[in-house]
Order: sequence, then C-alpha cells, then structure tokens
Amino acid sequence: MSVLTHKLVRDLWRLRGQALAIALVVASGVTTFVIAHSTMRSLSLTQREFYRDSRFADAFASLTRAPRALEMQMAQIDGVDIVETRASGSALIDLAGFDEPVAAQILSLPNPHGGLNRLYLRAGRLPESDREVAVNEAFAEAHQLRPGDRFDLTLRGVQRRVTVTGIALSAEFVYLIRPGDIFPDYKRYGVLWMARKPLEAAEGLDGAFNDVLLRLQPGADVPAVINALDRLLAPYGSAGAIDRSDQLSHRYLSDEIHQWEVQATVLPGIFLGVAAFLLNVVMMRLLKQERSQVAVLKAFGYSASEIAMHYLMLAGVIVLLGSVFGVGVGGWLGAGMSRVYQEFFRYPYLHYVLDLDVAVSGVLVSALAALLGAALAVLRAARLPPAQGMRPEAPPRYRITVFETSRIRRWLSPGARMVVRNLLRQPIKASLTVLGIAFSAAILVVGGLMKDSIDVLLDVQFRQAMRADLTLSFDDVKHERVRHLLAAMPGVHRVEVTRAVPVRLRSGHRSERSAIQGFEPDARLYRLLDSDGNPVPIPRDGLLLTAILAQKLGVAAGDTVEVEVLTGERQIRYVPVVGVTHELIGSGGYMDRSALNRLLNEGDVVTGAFLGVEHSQLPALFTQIKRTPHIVGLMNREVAIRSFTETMAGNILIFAAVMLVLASTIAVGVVYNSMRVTFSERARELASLRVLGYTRTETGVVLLGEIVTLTLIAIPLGWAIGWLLCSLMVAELASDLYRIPLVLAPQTYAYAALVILVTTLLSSLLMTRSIKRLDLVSALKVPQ
Amino acid sequence: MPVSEPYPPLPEAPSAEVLLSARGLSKIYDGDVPVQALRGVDLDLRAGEFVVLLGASGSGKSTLLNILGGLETASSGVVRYRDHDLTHADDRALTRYRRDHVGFVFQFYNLIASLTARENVEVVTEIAERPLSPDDALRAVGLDHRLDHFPAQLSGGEQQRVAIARAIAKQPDLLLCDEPTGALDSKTGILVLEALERVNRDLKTLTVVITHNAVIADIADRVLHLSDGRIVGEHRNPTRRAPRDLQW
Repeated sequence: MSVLTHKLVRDLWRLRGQALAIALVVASGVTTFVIAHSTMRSLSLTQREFYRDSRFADAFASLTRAPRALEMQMAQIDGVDIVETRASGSALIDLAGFDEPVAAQILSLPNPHGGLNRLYLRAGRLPESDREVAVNEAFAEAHQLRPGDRFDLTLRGVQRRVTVTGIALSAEFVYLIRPGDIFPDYKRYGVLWMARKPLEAAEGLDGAFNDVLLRLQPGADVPAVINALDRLLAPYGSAGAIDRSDQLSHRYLSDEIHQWEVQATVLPGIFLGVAAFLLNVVMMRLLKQERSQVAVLKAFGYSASEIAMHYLMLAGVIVLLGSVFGVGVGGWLGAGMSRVYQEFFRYPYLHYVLDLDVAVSGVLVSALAALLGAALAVLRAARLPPAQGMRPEAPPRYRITVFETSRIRRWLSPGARMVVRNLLRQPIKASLTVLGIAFSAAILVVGGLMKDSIDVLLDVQFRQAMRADLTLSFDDVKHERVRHLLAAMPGVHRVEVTRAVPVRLRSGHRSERSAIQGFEPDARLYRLLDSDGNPVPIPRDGLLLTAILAQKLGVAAGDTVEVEVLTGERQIRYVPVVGVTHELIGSGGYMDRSALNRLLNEGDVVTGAFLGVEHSQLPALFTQIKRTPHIVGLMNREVAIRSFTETMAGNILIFAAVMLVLASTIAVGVVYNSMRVTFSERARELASLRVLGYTRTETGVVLLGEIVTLTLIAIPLGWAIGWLLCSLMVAELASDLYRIPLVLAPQTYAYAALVILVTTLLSSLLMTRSIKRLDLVSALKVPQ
Repeated sequence: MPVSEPYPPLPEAPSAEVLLSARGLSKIYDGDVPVQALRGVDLDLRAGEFVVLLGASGSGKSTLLNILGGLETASSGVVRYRDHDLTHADDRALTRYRRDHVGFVFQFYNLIASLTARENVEVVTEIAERPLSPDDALRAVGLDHRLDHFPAQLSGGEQQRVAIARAIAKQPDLLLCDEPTGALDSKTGILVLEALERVNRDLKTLTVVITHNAVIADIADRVLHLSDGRIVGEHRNPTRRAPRDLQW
C-alpha cells in the first residue's frame, strides 16, 4: 500500500460519522433509483411477455348482436390481421356462505386455434358444457375456489348451477376493476369463461356474437381501422371500438409504469443532489484543514493530479460504499415491491429483473454526483502553489450584516450575532443547507399526500357524492315501473332510477368516448358536486360534464357539444353544456333522466337504480336480488369503503414508512454534517467561550444556533416545496379514471416539521458529546 | 497614554489576602507514556500581586496555570480559591469559577472572528455580575479608537489587547496570562505588557504571567522559577521595572 492509501484509509476512519451519513444519503438515492427502474422494467417486461404469449388483442369492440358472417368483412379491413368474435355477458353469482350477490363478466373461450386473448390456465382444465366455467385467479383466491367447486350463476335471468373446471388468467384482466370502482374488489367482482356454444345459447346469440377482438398488422393505421370497424358495426349496436390504449386494464398498467418513470428521475435526483452538496461541504472543510499537508506533499514533488486523485478517491470510496449498499437494498425492496404488485396486477408470473445496467448506472450516476460535489474543492486545493499553502490561510473576513440595524443589533446577543454573520458569510452554503433540509421536509409532505387525499377522496366520493347504499345495474333497458318492484323489496326505503347510455362527445376536432347518465330531478342518493364540494342540482335541460371531460373537449358552460349515441340508431344530437361537476372518480355527462329519454326518442326507461336501504334488512334484500332476473351489477357502498380502507391502510403505512426513512436520511445527513463542519470550524471559538466561563449549554446554543436557524427557515420552505411536488404529482396522475385531490392535512405539515426537529435534536445530542469532550487547553494553544 | 512609573513592591510580609493556594500539586497525564507535568507544587498567590512564572518549555508552567485557572484538575494535591476547594470541583463548579473570578489571556488571542472588538468584550460582560462597560475595558488597553473593527482588521498586538480587555472586563479577581507576548514582536509585546501592568495597578487584579522570556520577569513583584514540574526558585524584585524599559 502506498503511503497515500494509508492516509486515505485513516482519513476515512477519522471522518467515519460524516462519511456514513453521506453514504446513507447516496444509498437512499441509489435505492430509489434501483427500485424505480427495476420495477418499471419488471412491469413492462412481464407485460410484454404476457401480451405476446397470450396474443393480446390490439383493438376491441362491443355490440348488441351481429351475425358471424360479419367476421369476413372485418377481416378485410385494411390493417387487420386476425379477427376473433366472442359472446360476452353480465352475470350474478350466488356463492354458498357469502351473503352478497357477486357480479361478474362472462366471456366465451377464445378460439383454440390461433385465437386472441388466450387464457393462462393456472389449474384444472377449460370448461366445455353449459354447466362449466373457468374463473379468474384473483376471484378464485378471494373465495378459495378450486376446480370441482360449484356455485349458482344467473345469466339473462336464468339461474343454473355451474362447476368450476379451471382457474385462469388473462391479459385482458391483469388489472381487474369494475368500471366506476376506485379499487379492485376480488370478492365481489369476477370474470368467468364458458365454452362458446353454451354461452351463445344462454345469451341468445346463436350463430352471432356481441364482442370483437382484433389483432392488427404491424404498422397498421389504428384510427383508420377503428373508424372502418365502427362503420361496419354501427348497425349492430356497437358502442364504438377502442384500441388497446383505451382498454381498462392496459390503461391502469400503463399509468402505473408511467408513474415509475417519473419516480425514477425525481427522487434519485433529489438524493444525489443532496449527496453532492454534502460531499462538497465535507471536502471543502477537509482540504482547508489539510492545506499545509497538501502544500508539503507538493513541495516533495507529488503532482497536482496525484493529489487530486487522492482526495477524489476519498469521495469515491464513500459514494461507492453507499451506492453498492443502495443497489443491494434497492434490489431487495424492488423484489418485495413486485410481490405487492402481484396482488394488484395479476400476471401469471412476474419476472423481477434487476439488470446489471440498472445497477451499474445507479453506481455511475452517484459517482457523477460525487465527482461534481468533490471536484471544486479538490481542484482548488490541487492548484494551490506549495509556498502559499504552507502559510496559514488568511483569516476569514466578516462584516456587520445588512440585517443589523442599530436597533436589531442591540437586541441580538453576541452569540446571535455570531450565528447571523457566519451564515451570511457563506450564503450559498447556508442556502444549500436550507434546501437540503427543505427537501427532506418536502418528501415527508409528499409521503402524507396519499393518506390525506385518500381520506378526502373517500369522503367526497362515498359520503358527499355517492349516498346510495346499493347501486344496481340491469342487463337491458327497463320500464320506469321497475322502481315499484324495487321499492317493494325488503328494507328499501328509497329508490332513484337512472338511465345510462354510451356516447361519443365532440366539440370541434376534439372527441371523447364517454357515457351520459340520466338522474331523477330530485336525486339525493347520488349528488353531483361543484369544485367546493357543494351539490349541483340536475338541470331540467342541458348537460353537465365532469371537469376533466369538459377540459378534454375544450368546452365550458354555454358551449354546445355534439352527442353521438353509441347504441341503437346512433343518433346525433346537439346539447348545450350548462355546467361542470367535480367528482373525483370516473368521468362523463349528466342529464335529467326525462330529458335524456326525450333526447334518445325513447319512452320512460331506465338501466339502473340507486337504493337507500335499511341495513338490518340487507341479508334479506341480497337473497331477493340474487333471485331477481335482470339485475347484473351491484355495488355496496359500505363494503366498497371498507375493502378500500383495509387494502389501502397497509400500503399507505408502508409508503409513509419508506418516505420517513428516506427523508430522515437526508435530514440526518445534512444536519449532522453541517453541525460537524461548524463544530470543526468553530472549535477554537467554542473553547474560548468555555474558558471565558460559558457553560456547556450556553456554548451549545452558539454551536447549534446556526443549524437551528437554518432548520427553522427550511421547514416552511419544505412545506412549500412539498406542496408543489404534490400538486405536480396530482396533475401528473389525473386521468378520467380518477383524480387525486390535492389535500394536505395540517397534521402532515406538523409531522414533517416534527420529524425534522427531532432529527435536528438527535444530531444535536450527538454533538453535545463533542462539546463535552472539547479539549479547552489544546484547542486554544494552536495558532489561528 | 499614561506614563507607567516604577512603584514599590508589596511588603515582605504581605497583609494582602491569599486568593489562591496550592499544596503538593501534582499532575500526571495518562497516555501510552505517562508524563508527570507537576511534582508537588506549593504556592500562595495574594490579591493585587503581579507574579511571573518563569520556565523553559516543558517545565510545567502552563499546566500549573491551567489548574489555577480551573481548566484542568490536578492528579493529587490541593488547590483552594479563597475557601473554595478547586481540587475536587466538577465541570459545572469550575465553569462557575472561571465565569466569576478568572480572566485568561493566551499566546494566540483566541478572539471570535465574527465579532467586533467591542462585541468580543461583550461576550464576557453579558455573563459577568459586575462588569466594566466594554468601552471602558477597551479604553483601559488603549483601544478605544478600534471598537468596531473585526479581529481580521486588527494587528496582532491590537488583537492581544482586545483579549486583555475581554479578560479584565468582568473585573476578575485573577488574571492568568499564558505567554501573552509569545506571538508578538518586542515593540508590540511591550504595549501588551503595559496594558497588563496598568490593569494590575489600577484594578488591583492579581496577575500571573507565564513566560520563557526572563526579561519580562523584571516587571513583576514576585518571580517563580519552574523546572521539571517543581518550583525551584523564587525571588522578589526590589523595584518593578516599567515595561517600556524592557528590551529583548
């Protein structure tokens, strides 16, 4: 080992506390980098593989009924490679031992020869008869169903007992969520597959189909294909074809992958920036202390580059240790994260991949940060002419700061003046310290966003907007009279019927697929809300749009939109927009039901209902509903809230804990390093104060005054940065599926401040040991 | 600047109160090789005296001064300040002792770089019970024209005089000076010694100066010679010489 290597090892040991703090910040940065990149890759790699293996379709269309002869015509559309038709329907499941009715989507099996959306069979075999079904895996797990188990199934009002023959997964339902829900509920929503013939029979589709899947040729003009398909299927009640990007499961999955792309840059960026700053501060200090040593080395003939290399190695070792540790932790947490993901994204397999290039780039990026941080200090030292280096450095120049008007000055104690002048002598360093601590507070604020906003989301959606205990949907349009039937059911004290219709809305060149719901004029069980959360009455005429839809269409109250009804005769109407609403989940248009019926040239018909129910009567009501034909969908508000809260509680806790660890690492790193550097710069002054008769506490106040001042400035700044990051995230994540409200509870701000203060306190306690050990005699005996 | 006249030494059998007394004082620094810095020192220091402790480097003079000033504790023996036992005092009591009774001046001035001359003195006057005003303390060392200068704007001698002003501002009972002229040229050193002498004379502060510069001994009432951790000699000057008459 060369003598410089010896020095390197000993320097590292001497600086171990600070080196550790910096290494941990680097480790946090690399950990977030590795988690984000590896999760993003794992998700998209598995997605690609699963889509390929299961021949996931590129375009989708649903219709009322069309003859299979149409398949040939679809295949002739330019750009279409494979056409697959199928039967699809809604079903209600009655499981023994589970009171509530369970809704399900039922599909015919894909064509065994070259079909699309092929199933991955986890267990058992594919169903063959009209008494056999395969069920999706998440649903099977939720009810512990195995091949051979039986349950009652209601299809088109006919109940039959079916046997589960297989447990399956499909690329179409990687993320399985009932439209309109905010969270998967595997217990109450499932997907079933039945052989084609029996399902056609059950759905009254003999020789016909009501669902289309297309595989497109590479390079196909997707919008053109969709248009051609829509023209072809329009007479058959198609609600409009969509390409893969609008497919529900695919959209959730893509959103999730996109979120990780954002995470992969923002968090590691913050951490590595802080690490670079800390290295800069520590190296500056070290090189100041070793100024004469550097000069002596140079006088003995060491070259500037040898010396620069020596100090860069010091920074390099710290960063290398931190980043290798970070790769390890990141890989470990990433693998754990992928297990959590399997709960939500139901792939048959999830390949967690920590690629070498991700690990290497994590290390390289942090090495770059280290270089940036250390380079300035090292270059300055390496350039210093030896003769100048061996002379003591010129004493620091201070001045009376602009803040100290004679009045303020009188009020400031000498200790306070020391603090103010020291801070203002190095304003950049002070600002960066403030920024570092502020980011730590900001991360804590971001960590609180999920909990705060989800509380509000739940409250807005399930207490302010949705007030129906049960929401029912019917398999087809029904006469309004159905309300009397519903009102007569056990425990039902209020019925509000609704009419929903799929539409395409247009304004100028913009167009959006959506749905219009018709509500009763005095609707109380579902209330539309304005931006302040106040109820918006249903207008007698005209259309209300959710804000996000209005924004996408570029319309506001007073404009008129073109409404293409995507069922029946595909009528086109022009309807004035009379206002916007601000629910947080879903998007669409709302009208008075009678007005909607008139618009559609139809009688007094409905497609669903909101029920207000006596809770004690629920079991009896469920029994009745299970026996009622034509009810195909059911959502129970209380259950939705409960399952949502239960699932989210754990995740929020984990998220908040991770954020706490990350934020604390930064806070400790910045605060502790600042204190150490301040202490080493001021050891002599602190010793002077002790000699003059200042107690340890009084001396400590002078030492800690700087960092405490910076911390107090940093906390509100951190709140502001946190709020800004949250609003960016919220904007980034807003979609027509759901909008996370930008809500931060006062407790979240308080918590962020508290963590920072506690960190400062703990670091201070570490420093008081140093004050205690301060050797008064030797500190004062060396020349200044 | 007032002229400092030689004036008569204290009487042989002084009536002045004994402020500090040490008996059998020893100090051993533990370490790989234990070093015995003091070997049984007996000493009485009286109010108003000007004492010079003379000794070569390593003779134990700084250790003795540090123990007398409450910066260190002895390994054995007894030190008393009036009727307080400093030998067994804890950190809190020693801090109190330094705060209320002791002024220090060091070879390297140890001023606080971020505070002006006046503010450096205020550091002490803020916590002292009956302090001089900072301006008066600085006037006493002839620096009343440099009140608002930062240490970096002052010469070495000026900085040391600020240090003296800071030490005397609390009106200490004893002023302990460790090589106060060690970092200064002789001309500047004399200015500093004049300041010390004036304080001793005007405020009647017991002043102890340690130095290896034998010339300085001439301005003292009493001179103690230290060697190898022991007091090996003591003499009284028949007359105290004025600092400006010194040469080295």
